Amino acid sequence: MKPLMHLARMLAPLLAAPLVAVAADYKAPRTAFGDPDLQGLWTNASITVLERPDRISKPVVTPEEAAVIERVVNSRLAADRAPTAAGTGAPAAGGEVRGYNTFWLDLGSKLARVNGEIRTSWIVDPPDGRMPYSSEGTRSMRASVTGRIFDDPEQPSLGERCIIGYGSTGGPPMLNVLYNNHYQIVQSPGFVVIVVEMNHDARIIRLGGAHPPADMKFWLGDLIGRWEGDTLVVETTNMHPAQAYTAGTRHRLYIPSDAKIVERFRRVCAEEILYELTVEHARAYTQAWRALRGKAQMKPMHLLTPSVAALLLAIPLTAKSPEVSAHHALAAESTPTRRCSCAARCRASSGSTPMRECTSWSRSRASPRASGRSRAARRTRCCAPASTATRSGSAPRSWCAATRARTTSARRCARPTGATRLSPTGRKCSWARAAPARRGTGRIRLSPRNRNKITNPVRRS
Amino acid sequence: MYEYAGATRNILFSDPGPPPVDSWMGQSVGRWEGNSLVVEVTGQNDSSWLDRSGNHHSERMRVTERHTPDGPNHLRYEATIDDPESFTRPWKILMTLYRRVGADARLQQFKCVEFVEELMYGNLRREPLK
Repeated sequence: MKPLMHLARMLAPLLAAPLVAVAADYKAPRTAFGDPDLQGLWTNASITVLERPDRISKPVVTPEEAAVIERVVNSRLAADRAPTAAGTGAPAAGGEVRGYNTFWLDLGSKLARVNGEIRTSWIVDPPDGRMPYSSEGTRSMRASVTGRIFDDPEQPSLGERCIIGYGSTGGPPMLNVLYNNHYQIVQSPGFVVIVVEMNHDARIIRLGGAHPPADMKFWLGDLIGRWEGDTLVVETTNMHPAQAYTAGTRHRLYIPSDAKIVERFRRVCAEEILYELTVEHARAYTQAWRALRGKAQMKPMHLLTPSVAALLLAIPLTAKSPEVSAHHALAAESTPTRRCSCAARCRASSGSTPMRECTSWSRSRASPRASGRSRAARRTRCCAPASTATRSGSAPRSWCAATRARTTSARRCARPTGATRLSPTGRKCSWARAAPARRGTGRIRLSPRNRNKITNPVRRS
Repeated sequence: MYEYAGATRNILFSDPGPPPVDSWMGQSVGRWEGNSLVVEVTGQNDSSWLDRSGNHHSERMRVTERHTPDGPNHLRYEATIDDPESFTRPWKILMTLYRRVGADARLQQFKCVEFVEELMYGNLRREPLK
């Protein structure tokens, strides 16, 4: 079996080659004014994240390994969706009430298929799928961390304040988070606009022109695009410095506001846009090949697959209201699952989840034994507020206030919980730690403990 | 897209039926009538006001908008407001929208920073916040 898998790995690039060739022949349709047409609703929902997770040793996995990872994640999420056990009762006064569970989330159920590879990280370069921070970059990132001081209304994180979406959803790079992973692209002569579902941000890309003076800073930066054949190339400058550090529940990221950021959007078939991003900064990042280039790069790639129509209608509402969820479910039910038809690798990449299959990382009260099984569960466990504020109200303002209450309680979270046993990185709030650079060993690591998680994700080892 | 509040509005050209839930900006269904873009807006919640003096409306309000070019740089905007719960008869507004013709014309950012007093006057504190 082992040699066979090895053979399959060797053959994979060869097998993928003709499919890529098919995609290379693809010519994007044109708008009425002659530009390549990127318009439509797109999503990057996936269980693939910016950086290769600690517990997976490879940025690229085989279909068999992907199936294992997807099964582990999805069974954990499904367990979270289970109804609360009868007779559980209310939490004790001052006890944890936890955040919303899987039902409210929509993070996708599959690893991304990018250029014929199944990826555990969006970062393709460095090849280990991890951010190449230099020591200066790590220091700067720590200094930029927001959302932990609450003496001033402007100190909480930008996502919590609803200034921009959390976790770099509005980009660059446009990263996937736990929900609202949808984008609508609209074009007119001289402009491309990307409407971001999260926080209803809009990235307005001017085609041509000059950036304003460097001392003018904008949320999401100043974007100028150009067409290189069928590829939309976008350079972003004048980024607001407060945006340099951003964190989701599954990733955190530091891009200095003076970094060089280039994004490329290319429609590789009717139902897929390949999104490529290169970030260069001479001091914040470093890698072995730094000598070759004189500066370091990180280069995540995204796959955008088509979304269910009409989801963006929910933008003015908070995604937490049950009515909206019902609306989403309706939209998902009335729209048949669309299949990509142009190339096999496109078919394989349609990883978006119908809204009904909402998924989550937090834990329900029903499975207390499972507490601390994942990083997110740990956070829920140690950072949950002592009130039910997170569930109150659907108006944006009260939601922000509720989120603030939740995050405020995170401040007190400096003590390790029982969960640290699972991973040494769980000490303190896990997002505050430095990411250790790890090299891929060429094979997936599954410790006996992790195997337990595959067969029974809620079993305590 | 609106500069104000960075809002966006999607206008659907195929009617999906009644909006499943009321929302701040409702559901917009558009059609072309000659040179006019006609948009029917329904499903707005009753929590917004039409102006600062508190002129209100109910969630049954239906707004019919017509956008008609009056020339290369002029757009006639008409809106008929029909809300039997709030008004004795439909009424109408009309204004001309002028194209911003400057080469550098663009939408500015509108991000609602909370407690702007602190932002603007915080430096006057005896001990300014950091």
